[in-house]
Amino acid sequence: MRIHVRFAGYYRTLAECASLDLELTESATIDDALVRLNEMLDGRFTKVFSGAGVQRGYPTFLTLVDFRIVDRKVTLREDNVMAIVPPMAGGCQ
Amino acid sequence: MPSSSRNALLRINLTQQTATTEDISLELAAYIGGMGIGVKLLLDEVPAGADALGADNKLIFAVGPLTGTSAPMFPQTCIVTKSPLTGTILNAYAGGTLGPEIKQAGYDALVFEGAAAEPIFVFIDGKEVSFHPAANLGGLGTSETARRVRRTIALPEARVVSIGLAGENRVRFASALAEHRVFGRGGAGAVMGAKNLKAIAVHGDRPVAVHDPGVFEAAVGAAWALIHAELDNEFSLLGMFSRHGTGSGMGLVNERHVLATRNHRFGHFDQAHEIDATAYENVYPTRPVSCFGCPVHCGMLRRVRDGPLKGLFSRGPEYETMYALGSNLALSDREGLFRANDRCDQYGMDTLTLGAVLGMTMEAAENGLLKESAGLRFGDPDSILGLIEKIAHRDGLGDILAEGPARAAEKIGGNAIDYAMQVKNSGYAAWMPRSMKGTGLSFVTANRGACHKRAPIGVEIMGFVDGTTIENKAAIVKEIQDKVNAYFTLVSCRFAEFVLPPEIGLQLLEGATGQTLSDEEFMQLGERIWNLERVFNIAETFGRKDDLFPAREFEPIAGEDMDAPQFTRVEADSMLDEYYELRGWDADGVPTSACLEALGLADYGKRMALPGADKTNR
Repeated sequence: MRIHVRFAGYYRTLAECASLDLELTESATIDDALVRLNEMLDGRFTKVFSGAGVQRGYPTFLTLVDFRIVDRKVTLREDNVMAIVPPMAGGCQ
Repeated sequence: MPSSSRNALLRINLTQQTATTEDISLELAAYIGGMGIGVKLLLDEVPAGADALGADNKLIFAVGPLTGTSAPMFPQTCIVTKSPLTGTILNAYAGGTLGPEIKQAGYDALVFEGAAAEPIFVFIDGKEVSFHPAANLGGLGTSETARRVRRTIALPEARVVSIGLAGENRVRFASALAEHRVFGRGGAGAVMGAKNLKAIAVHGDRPVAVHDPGVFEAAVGAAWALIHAELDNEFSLLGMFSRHGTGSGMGLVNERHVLATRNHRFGHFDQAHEIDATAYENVYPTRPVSCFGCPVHCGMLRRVRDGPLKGLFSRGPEYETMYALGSNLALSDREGLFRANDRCDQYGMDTLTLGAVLGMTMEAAENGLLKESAGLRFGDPDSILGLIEKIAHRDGLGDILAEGPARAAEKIGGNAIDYAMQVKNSGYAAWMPRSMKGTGLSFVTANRGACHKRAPIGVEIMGFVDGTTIENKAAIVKEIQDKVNAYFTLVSCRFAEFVLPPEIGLQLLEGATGQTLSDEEFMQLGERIWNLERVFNIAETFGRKDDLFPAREFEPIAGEDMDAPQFTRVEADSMLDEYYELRGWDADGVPTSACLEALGLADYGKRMALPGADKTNR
């Protein structure tokens, strides 16, 4: 399935784009999408998240799906819009 | 026994140029301070139907029992007056250092009444009050006015409140500036202008003592611990405000699709990252500035090092201005936005209502409703700066726009009123009621019009409550309105409520003054003040017919990938019904006699029974 990913704040600089599309297997979660994203962007997000999820000690960020803040265990669906917002752009608890 | 309150108000008659000091009565002292005593004084002293720009209106500056003490996050000063923008009661706030200076001069409140025959400034130096001609200050910006006032009185350390050209020309949303901080909403600057009061300088040197230093210091310590813990957490909201200013949350608001864009047609601005806090920090050398005794220092001063604005040194823009003159007008030109923000500060103009006025105007121009619309377009800094000049000078179209969004739209005609994002002629703040219905209910029921200071913004943005439904919103809104009103009697910064629970405020109050209140009594005080304000407004013929959402709220939010939440008139009516019932008001939004009696306000019922007010200033 294909989802759309949007980057806010510094993550836009890190990704070198404001948004992109991501191919995932059916029933992938947000955590799965983050891992895939890191691979796709040549490890540019390794400091932020890796295969084990969020890197220890790194500030949390918020993930949104279709404009609602959701947990990273949430299962994604075709055409979902997933946004990643770093703390400096308001993505903090 | 000592108390941090002065139990004194200074009454200044501008017509006669006299000043008298009065004791604050026990009845008035029960309202603690700030908007509490300001609202009570205005109800008692300004007749229903008074012209907001006339000599009958009064301009009250009030501080609180914690002002000028070591209690952190209580630095503000409150203005209460009748608003020339809305025709309702107004309370507006500014931080900085003015409040502590008023307290050190020996007062809890300054009451300006009447109107001077010629422009003047007033200098309050402790017990001495002097009146100075100010015709030579006419047309000067707020900063230059403050500089010249200090030079005239030869007292560089005096604190000055000043107005710019917008206030002099009675632009209905003119602000008053206290150094780098702004009494923004509702047109207090126009009230000063109408009274020919160009500036007020204050100086005091009386230390502020507290009632029980042991109790007070313990409460101060507890407050500091909570604030420091929050600031130590680098990415807490307050921590981010401390490091980067209020514009640091723009990315989340944008990704939640509640960043009002192009006059609230869209909820997402593709260029938001061009005008947020990070964008400004990356370009302009920035340093934080704090209000008196505040460890948060959320104000950001920036200097322009090169280009056409080289040398400009200005504060902001704050988050709400990034919305009002930024995303709302589709302006991604960072320098243009910085310039517009600075011009508003120097002319003395509320950027929020200005943004609503300009959004309406540009959409009216797009739709052919304006004769004088050549070149006006969204996203164009020259259009925005040009209209700011015209409004401040009340020149041509600017004279119409200076009346505020609803009044201007009525004059423009056609369906321009549908483009005016306002409540009671006060421009919207940055939030979108279609996705944040609790915040929307706060806007329409606010006693000063479209108020975001008493709205459940954080919980709706973070999804702690579902902003897309109307469920339970009436109760949430009533609670936050009463709570913030209670806090504002202590004249706290709005952000204090994010981190300091009410019991800390009450411990500080007890230590500072000896006054003890339970949580319930404190909240009831907030509710009492809310009802007093409503009584004032009902006597000015406001009611349910004025607690209205703009037509745009019932359209879907535009955007090609947006599964937009819907908002219906039935839902809006249902929220209002529930809210009025919870408040103990009738179906027209009028406090019932039982409600007033329960709050100890029975005598004020008579005010609502007076004949309808003059609506020329609504």
